[in-house]
Amino acid sequence: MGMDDKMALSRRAFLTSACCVAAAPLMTSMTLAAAPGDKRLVTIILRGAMDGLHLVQPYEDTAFKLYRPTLAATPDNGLIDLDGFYGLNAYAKDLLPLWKRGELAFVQSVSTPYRDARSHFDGQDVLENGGVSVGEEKTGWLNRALSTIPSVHSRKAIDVNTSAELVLSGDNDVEVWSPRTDLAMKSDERSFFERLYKNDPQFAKAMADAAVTDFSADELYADEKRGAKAADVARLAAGMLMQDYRIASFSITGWDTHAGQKAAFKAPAAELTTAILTIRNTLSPAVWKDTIVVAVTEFGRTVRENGSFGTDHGTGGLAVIAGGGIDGGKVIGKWPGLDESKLLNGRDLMPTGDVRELAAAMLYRQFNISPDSLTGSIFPGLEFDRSSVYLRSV
Amino acid sequence: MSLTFSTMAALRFGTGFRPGQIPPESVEEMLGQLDAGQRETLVFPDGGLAAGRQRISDTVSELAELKLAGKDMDAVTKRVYRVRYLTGLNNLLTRDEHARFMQAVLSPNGFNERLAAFWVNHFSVSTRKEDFMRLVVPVYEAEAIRPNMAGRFADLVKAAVLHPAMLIYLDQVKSFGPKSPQGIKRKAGLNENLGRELLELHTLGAGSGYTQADVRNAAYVLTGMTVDRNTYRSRYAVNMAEQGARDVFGKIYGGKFRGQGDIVAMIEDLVATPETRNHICRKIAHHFLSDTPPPEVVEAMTAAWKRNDGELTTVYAAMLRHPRSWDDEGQKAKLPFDYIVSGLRALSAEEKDMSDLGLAPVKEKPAAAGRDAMSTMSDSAMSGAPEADAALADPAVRKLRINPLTVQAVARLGQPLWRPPSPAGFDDGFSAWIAGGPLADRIAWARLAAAKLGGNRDPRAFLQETLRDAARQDTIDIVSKAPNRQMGLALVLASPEFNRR
Repeated sequence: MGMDDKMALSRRAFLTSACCVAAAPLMTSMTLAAAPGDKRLVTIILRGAMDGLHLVQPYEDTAFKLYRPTLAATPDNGLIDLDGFYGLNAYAKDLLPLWKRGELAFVQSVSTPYRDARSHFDGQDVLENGGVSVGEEKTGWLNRALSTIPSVHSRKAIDVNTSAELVLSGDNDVEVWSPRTDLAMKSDERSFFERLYKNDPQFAKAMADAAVTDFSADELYADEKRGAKAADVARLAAGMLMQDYRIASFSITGWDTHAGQKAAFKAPAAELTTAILTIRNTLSPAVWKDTIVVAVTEFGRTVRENGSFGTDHGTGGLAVIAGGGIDGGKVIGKWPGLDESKLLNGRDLMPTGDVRELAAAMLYRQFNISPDSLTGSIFPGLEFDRSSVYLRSV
Repeated sequence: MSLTFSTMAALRFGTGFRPGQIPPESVEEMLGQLDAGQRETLVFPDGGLAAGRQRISDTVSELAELKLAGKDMDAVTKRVYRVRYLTGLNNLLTRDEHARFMQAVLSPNGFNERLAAFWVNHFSVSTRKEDFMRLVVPVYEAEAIRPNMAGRFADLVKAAVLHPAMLIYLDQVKSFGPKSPQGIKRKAGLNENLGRELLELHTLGAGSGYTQADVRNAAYVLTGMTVDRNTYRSRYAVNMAEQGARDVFGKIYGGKFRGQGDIVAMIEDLVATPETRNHICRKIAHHFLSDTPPPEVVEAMTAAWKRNDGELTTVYAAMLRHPRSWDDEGQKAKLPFDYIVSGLRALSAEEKDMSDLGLAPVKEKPAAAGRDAMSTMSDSAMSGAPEADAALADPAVRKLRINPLTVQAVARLGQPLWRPPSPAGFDDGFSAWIAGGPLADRIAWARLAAAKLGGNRDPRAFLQETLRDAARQDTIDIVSKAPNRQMGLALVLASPEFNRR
């Protein structure tokens, strides 16, 4: 029995179960089916500044080892060769099958327009507000994108988090749900709350929405403990994309590896790997083909390792793209080189691409949002058109 | 008026009923809470404002010693000390956050408390901007916001916008006149952040007609305002200030000399515009009355503002004296902080119920705590605190455990204390808070609070005490049919009437 069948069956069971009878009339207008051909997008914010040079190491660049005497690896000591120039960090080795199937790509040396101050707080603000500077926009670019999607039923988005992240915050309605959110009630108890809200349309609607999302979450988790780890978050996000959500966003933290990076990198790298694989495994093969996952970070880290065997805040960083329908298995984006004269301020990887253009390209590809909207309200001032390198190369 | 005065005063304009506290019976009594609030000894910062200030000086010294000692340390040891230092800072903030809840829950001056929360959200700053903000933000609310919210709006703007918390949060400390002596020496230039938010958020309002040139010129006028990093007091550094006349929203500041007086004059002029009074009065009415407040109430408020030179007490009075402010109860949703505060008040929570839970036991791998994918701005991402391997078993690194009914709950419900998502503050609209996920989280809190603090209360009596005549008949019926006491209490706290105001 395929994933689609399982979902269909359980949906029927859900609608006829006693607990949901009260909520059911309110849900009839909802599209419960995961319509084939519908594109989906997942954004993952890698908070804390991921060291892209540690995840995907340019081991063939002779300067690399000189900058990073203890951190740099080679295919002889654990690094997984990708293309003869770049190698994948061993903590992300489970992503290799995706790479080989062309379902994974990396984008080299991208950044937001944020420069020279290297604050996590401000870097994340720019990454999420989609503008050129801190505080320029008060809402998130992914939220602004929602109302510009031509197909109305693709505008359903969920933020898998306890509080709304800036990237999905704004005027357009977005569901916020955390894996720990759980109505966790027996059906007789739940019916009391449904009756409590019955005569208040706004609360009744919220309760019905909660019941639907909670049901999907319960189905994903069964009786397992609900964690807040990346696997739980990713599973919930993907489960919602199998329902009628088309956009999901969540965060992975722990990338701020100032010291002992070799060890400190393990946990977040494993979380990112698990998150991507969990999304793929939770989605049906058909839906995975229509899905793009894009993981971005506020900035990269210094090319040189520091005195505590870690790296400090830098500029040019790495983005990760995954999806069943992409033309992956490659590192795209221009490699700026590691020659001292090529580094930004003599310390950071020189950005050769705008992470906003990458995001714009994915929004265009998945939802056919017009370039005018993408360079207008969504990413003000961005230069983007249909010839974007990020559309041509994946 | 559809409900009694005291019910509307407690629910719409206050922090809810607390058994034993008598709610105001008149507009005069409500305005009296502003004076009473000024005389009240604040429960936060932990130990009082002077103690909060003292912690800042102590930490400045501690950091200086740490830097000095660090010269002889290897990188790994240095890292261990830094993690200890940051954990210490986080723990100090945790205490203040717990105390902040106690202030709101225990104070008899509900209208005053609501205004404090409103103005802190209007003049948003965040404890996560940099390490020291953990100490500065609680002090900011206590010394810049609260003492000035019953005076002239211009004075509140000056106190808030020129406070170190705001100067740091909106990067004024990084702004240099490009041709000032310091700007030339450091090759540093203008940072527009505070200039922009002063116009867009704090005074005129977005879309009110100012231009990018106004933003830039406001930022030029603000150059020189910075923070003394030894005392964390604001300071005017003339050698950071850009000379020359600048035009902001039609008025010219400076000329031959630039001084702090230009900044004060600019704020006074911005506040005196119709744009500012319309923006601010509408925002107050939007917060207290409705997402679409009655225009006649806003007009009464702006008229009072104009007659009284922006004296805020008269603006609040104009709102409270307008009959339409007492119509149509329940149009707004309580923000998560207010929801929790009113719930704890209904349950007569005492200080002990709201304190932190002591130091966490020494763990083998405390690093895991910083990798909680759920926290939007995790400690590890924000503080720059890495999980140095050597620090893993450091017994000195022990975090204070956070109270699940207060500080932890408010973050779970989407409004982490003193940590707004952007300088615009938290959303104040109904639909942001009454939706599937947030409602499920509120139900979970209602059940937890009922289990922890409900005791053997009778749900029907609790409903009567908590909502009085705001309780609807269908809610009374369902509560009286609840299968057990705890469920009955949870239903009261989760009811639409208790979430609305």
